Amino acid sequence: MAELNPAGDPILEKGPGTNGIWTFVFIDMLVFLMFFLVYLSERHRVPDIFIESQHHLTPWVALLSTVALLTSSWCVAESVHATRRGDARAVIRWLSFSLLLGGVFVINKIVEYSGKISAGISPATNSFFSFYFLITGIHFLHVCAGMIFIAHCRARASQETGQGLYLKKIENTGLFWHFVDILWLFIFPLLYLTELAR
Amino acid sequence: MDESTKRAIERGLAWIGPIWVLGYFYFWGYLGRNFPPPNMMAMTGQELVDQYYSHSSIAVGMMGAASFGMLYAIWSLLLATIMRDENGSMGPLSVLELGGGLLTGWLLAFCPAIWCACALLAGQIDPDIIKMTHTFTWIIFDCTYWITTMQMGAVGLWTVLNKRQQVVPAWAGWTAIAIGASFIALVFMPFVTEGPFAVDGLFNYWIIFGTWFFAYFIVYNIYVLKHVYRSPEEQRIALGYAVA
Repeated sequence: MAELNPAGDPILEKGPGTNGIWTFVFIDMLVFLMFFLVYLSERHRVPDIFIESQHHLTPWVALLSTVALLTSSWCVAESVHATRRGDARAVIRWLSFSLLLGGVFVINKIVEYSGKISAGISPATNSFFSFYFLITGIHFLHVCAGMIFIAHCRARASQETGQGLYLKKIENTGLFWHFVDILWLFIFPLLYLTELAR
Repeated sequence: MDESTKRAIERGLAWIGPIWVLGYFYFWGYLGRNFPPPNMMAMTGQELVDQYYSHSSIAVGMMGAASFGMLYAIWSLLLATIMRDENGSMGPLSVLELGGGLLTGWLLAFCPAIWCACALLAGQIDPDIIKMTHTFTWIIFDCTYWITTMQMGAVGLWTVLNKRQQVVPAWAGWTAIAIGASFIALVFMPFVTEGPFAVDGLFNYWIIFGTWFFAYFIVYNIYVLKHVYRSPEEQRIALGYAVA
């Protein structure tokens, strides 16, 4: 029988995290897959609207967001390594960088949304922008949730680094953050890049 | 009340879930011609009356739906009792689930009652008033999605966070939370006249209603039915209570 952490979640003997986070990531991935498939279906139905609308987006802003998120993910991975070494100061440092870069993404997104709304573009403008606001909006909420988890891990680092439960906590947080990252790697080209060549 | 009577009541209430499915699908879906509903945002009042409310089955279908709608609330109440703590008290998640289930059941009855009125009055009053009432009711039906999101979030969190319970597997809880959260796309419904986010759209009708039904309601119905047919001792073990 698998060892349980005090919360009763089976600890994976091979691999990071707990069953719960992997299950959550899988289900969440299916939901986003649903969004992507419906997006592609609608794009096939009204390609002209999608081509014209995508030119209203600013890919370089999204590229900056991508770099920030990828780097933030690397910082979280380093914080997991630091946790395994028992180096609490390094954990706090890496998680701080990660939060900072996550904040860059959040600010970028808010500025982007504000620009669109000021230009009279809203989810009701057309189906492309319905998808744009829906998909990036839900992803944005995931980023915010991830930053809360990272902030919690940072707040507990000095007291809990070295404990097995904290390692699982930060591994779960890292897995979630990497998932958020991977989602963006699909969202960015799908929404911002695919029609630019036309 | 003796134990065998309590168990009989529990089992009866559990079967109300499938009864709701059969009744609502038949009355609201088939007789009410909601597979899919008319896209009223892209229709004039006259078109809505001519193409939808001209069908004589709609008034009967909606009245049947108004009757069966509250069965959903009854099933949700049973689910809330399963989510009680060991000492019998209802924690916040149980109350949230109960509140969401009651409100959802109310909505499932209330809106069809209004559509029944539209069906009965179509042809007698201005078609634009029919469209206004029909649209107003659909916006209530769809855009108060938080009442069901709240219910699904609560039961999903109970499923996932209550590590001692074995009534429902964790994946079902995560699925309930994810589907409940995806309802947010319904906010687009009033603003679009075509496409996946329209009232009859691929996402806002077929995917949202379909996943809610197949990946949440059917799943929880199965596990609730399994649970109520366990012996009292097996139920205590499944709920993670200390065995006496």
